[in-house]
Amino acid sequence: MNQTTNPEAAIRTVHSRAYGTFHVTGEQIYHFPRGLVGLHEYKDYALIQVEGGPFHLLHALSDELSFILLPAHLAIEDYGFRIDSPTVELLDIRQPDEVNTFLIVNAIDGELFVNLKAPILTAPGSRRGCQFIIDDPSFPIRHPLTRKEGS
Amino acid sequence: MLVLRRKPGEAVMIGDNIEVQVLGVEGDTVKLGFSAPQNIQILRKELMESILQENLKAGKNQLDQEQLLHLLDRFANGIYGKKGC
Repeated sequence: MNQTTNPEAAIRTVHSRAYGTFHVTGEQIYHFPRGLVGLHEYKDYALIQVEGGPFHLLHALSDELSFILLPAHLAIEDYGFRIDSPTVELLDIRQPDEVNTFLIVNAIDGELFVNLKAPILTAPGSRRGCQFIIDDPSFPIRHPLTRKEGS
Repeated sequence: MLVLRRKPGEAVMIGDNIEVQVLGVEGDTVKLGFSAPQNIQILRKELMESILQENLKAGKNQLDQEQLLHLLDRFANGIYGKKGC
């Protein structure tokens, strides 16, 4: 199972109609063994920090499918949840600080929202990722993204 | 689709290691108990559906992505402006 991606892969180019062309290194390529919810056929993504801002682009290597992500701590304070052991195994991590938590950003009627219910988890060490579902009704799928004032 | 009649306390097996038991019936609500290996995630279907729809909206709609870019610029300028860098 560890042979599905070659971490030292040569530089790849990702073409995105919406965001332009990116050259990515092997370190920016993440394997999502389960894909994303409802999008299980897309398992390999480039994770690119958008220049000059806090946002990241998660772009499928094989198609025009991309998500804007925001590191969770920039969107909301006190965001915490427990990761189950199958997910720990999938990400191949041992400590909580080996995983980064991102929220998917969505635009609806001119407003920005983040999905707190199903964050994207990435493990730079193993270059694996997943969309983790938090089965707790207090986490909304659409949480308004507001600027942090004075922080 | 397989249809089975079960009474409270009775169960069905899905494969060797997934068990679904009818715990009770209260009005129009059926209470089910699931026993499955840890790597099987059990969720309400409407929850999966709503996440799927949100993923599609966030990831596949080109028009929305252009609007998204515009809003992101405003947002990023806002937070960086306030931090003064």
